[in-house]
Amino acid sequence: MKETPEYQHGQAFLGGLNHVYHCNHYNAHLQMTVMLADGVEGGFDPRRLLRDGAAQVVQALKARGYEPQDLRDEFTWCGFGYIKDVTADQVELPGSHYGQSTYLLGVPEKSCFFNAGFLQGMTGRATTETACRHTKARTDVFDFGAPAPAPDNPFVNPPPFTPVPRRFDFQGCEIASTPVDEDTIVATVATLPLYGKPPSENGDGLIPAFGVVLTNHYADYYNLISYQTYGHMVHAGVPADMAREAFVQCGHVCAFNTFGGIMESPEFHALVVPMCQDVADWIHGMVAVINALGWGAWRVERIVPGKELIVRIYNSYEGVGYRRLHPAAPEKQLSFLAMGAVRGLAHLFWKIDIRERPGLSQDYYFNVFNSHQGYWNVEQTHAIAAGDGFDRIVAWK
Amino acid sequence: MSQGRSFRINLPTLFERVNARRKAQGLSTVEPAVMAVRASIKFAIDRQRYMDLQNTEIDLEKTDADALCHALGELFNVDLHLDDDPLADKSAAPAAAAGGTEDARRVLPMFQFYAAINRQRRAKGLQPVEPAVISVHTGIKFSIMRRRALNFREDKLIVSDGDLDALDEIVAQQFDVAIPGGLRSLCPAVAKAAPPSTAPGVDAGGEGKRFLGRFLHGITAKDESRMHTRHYALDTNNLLLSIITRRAYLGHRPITPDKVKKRCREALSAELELEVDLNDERITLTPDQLDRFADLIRKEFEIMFEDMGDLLGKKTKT
Repeated sequence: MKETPEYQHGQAFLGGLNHVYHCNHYNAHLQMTVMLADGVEGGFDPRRLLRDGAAQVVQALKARGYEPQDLRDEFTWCGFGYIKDVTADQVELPGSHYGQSTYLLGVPEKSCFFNAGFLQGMTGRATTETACRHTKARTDVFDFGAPAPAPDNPFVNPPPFTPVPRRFDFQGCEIASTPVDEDTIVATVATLPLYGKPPSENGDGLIPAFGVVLTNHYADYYNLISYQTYGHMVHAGVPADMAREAFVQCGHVCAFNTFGGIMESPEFHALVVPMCQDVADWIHGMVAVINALGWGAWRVERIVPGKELIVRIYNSYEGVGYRRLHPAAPEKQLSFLAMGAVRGLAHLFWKIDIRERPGLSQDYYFNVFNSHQGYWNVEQTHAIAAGDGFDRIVAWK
Repeated sequence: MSQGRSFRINLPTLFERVNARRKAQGLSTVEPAVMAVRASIKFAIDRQRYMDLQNTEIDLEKTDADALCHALGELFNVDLHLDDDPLADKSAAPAAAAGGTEDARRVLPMFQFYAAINRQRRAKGLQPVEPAVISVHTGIKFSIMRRRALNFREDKLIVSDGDLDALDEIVAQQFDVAIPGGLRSLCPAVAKAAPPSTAPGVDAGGEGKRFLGRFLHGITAKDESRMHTRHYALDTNNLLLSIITRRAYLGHRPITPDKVKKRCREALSAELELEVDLNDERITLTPDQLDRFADLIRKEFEIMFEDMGDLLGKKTKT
């Protein structure tokens, strides 16, 4: 690896870019949500955005001095799979997060857009996916064509980082203490081997953990594809709340699978559960784990069991990432992942009770967790994207 | 002018006319963009339906066109009537739709819509998709394709043939299935230009044709044919057992049969103004009451089922 991860402002950095852990379900749903924008208006092609967004991220790494081998190593370390040369004009991905672990609910198509964009950025050549597991190919194959122009750098603004207050030590916080030791949890999670291993270490470049398949993804990629798509949808006349809900759903599915998987895991039960006396402590425990995911610094402001959950996020990857791309927004409800995740966190305790280890499955998600009944409301009242000092997410029933 | 006729309205002209009338009254002019946004909101509140007024032209039925004029009149203090104004091309063709008559309005029951998609997905060996995801994905694609929005969280939608064609396309593209006979097959009723908010009152073409109707013969029913209205008798024990079993299957906390009875009785009393004794062997309901009782059970006990036939395990396989 060219560089090693650094932790600052509640975020994790590699190659100067914020990395965030997300599961295959989130990646699948986010990609599908972007693809919903097909046909919004002339000139906007969501598939091209999914591909070119990856090329733009790679371009930022190249500007920092990354060579092709550095990029290959990082691709694998981050859990995207591994790249195998076939010819000078073709590679295949025998291990592929997007090919093996994501899915489409619609008509199958070649849909490893991120991989294609990463390879395009890496080689500087137009890259086409010519075979894909989603269309029942044995593996994912990418062909290289003519030289592609270097993409623009969209990250034009400095990140608006702010100091992070200590837990419960901020105005408006209604919680005094918890026996949950966040520092110990964060330090322990940081020691987990959550990275992809190359074939030389008997790995396939994937990160299976907690019942899901993780990636340590580029936050800028998520923000690029999410906010451009959202903007195009709204501009085309899709009601903003409908467009927003599609993105929030991605966070919700992530909460169920990743948070739920973590809280059912033996590791969580060994490390965190012994610190917990009540449901509020479980929330503090899960939030401590979230604070190791690179998503920003989460601070619980208020818990009214079964009724309300308020979380602030300092240096949220969505808020900071939005401002790297755009001037301050005129609207506040833009931290889509955070809204879905906080709602999902509430559902994990008060729509189901994750403490009872109900066993998580897609059937359970379908029938119970994401059923209409007992759904919590969620709203973002403060947004870094809109110029506030933190994101504040309120979920209530 | 007859109900259901389509008007093509040129929005810049309409907004100009509003400003001309405001000027005549000594009022300041309003930016067309502001007018469009505010009128959209007012229209959506009045008609329970979103309409994108940022476009140049828009096709509206008379009731909607009147509602739009009324909204503009109220918001911007002008007296505006469609009939007085050369704003609309009254001979305009209906909104573009492949082959259908846009005036025809059909009721699409959303539970049937979700169930049909997932029935076809299961038949294809695919995982079912939650209604929450279906509704938001379909809603976005529908907005993009039809340039107007419907609230897919409603229990029922009132849609045109053109809308149904678009929805068939969306279902195939987004969920990789085709509904046999198309979504029209789920819409037994033709509403007469009723807006979505009036959906429950829509003439469904006779009780026997309601969307639940075709399953009713599968329920332990007795046809009290000498009465004017067909009634169906539900086996109370079967009903209680079905609710408890389905809740248990979904992992909900267990509740006692007595609690189920109490909550059913209270819901029937509060919502349907029916006083029934759940200790009786059977309770007798009309098809409409049966529909509404099914909705109450879904909400009260947080379980999902297609219809009473499905809940009680009497649904005939088709």
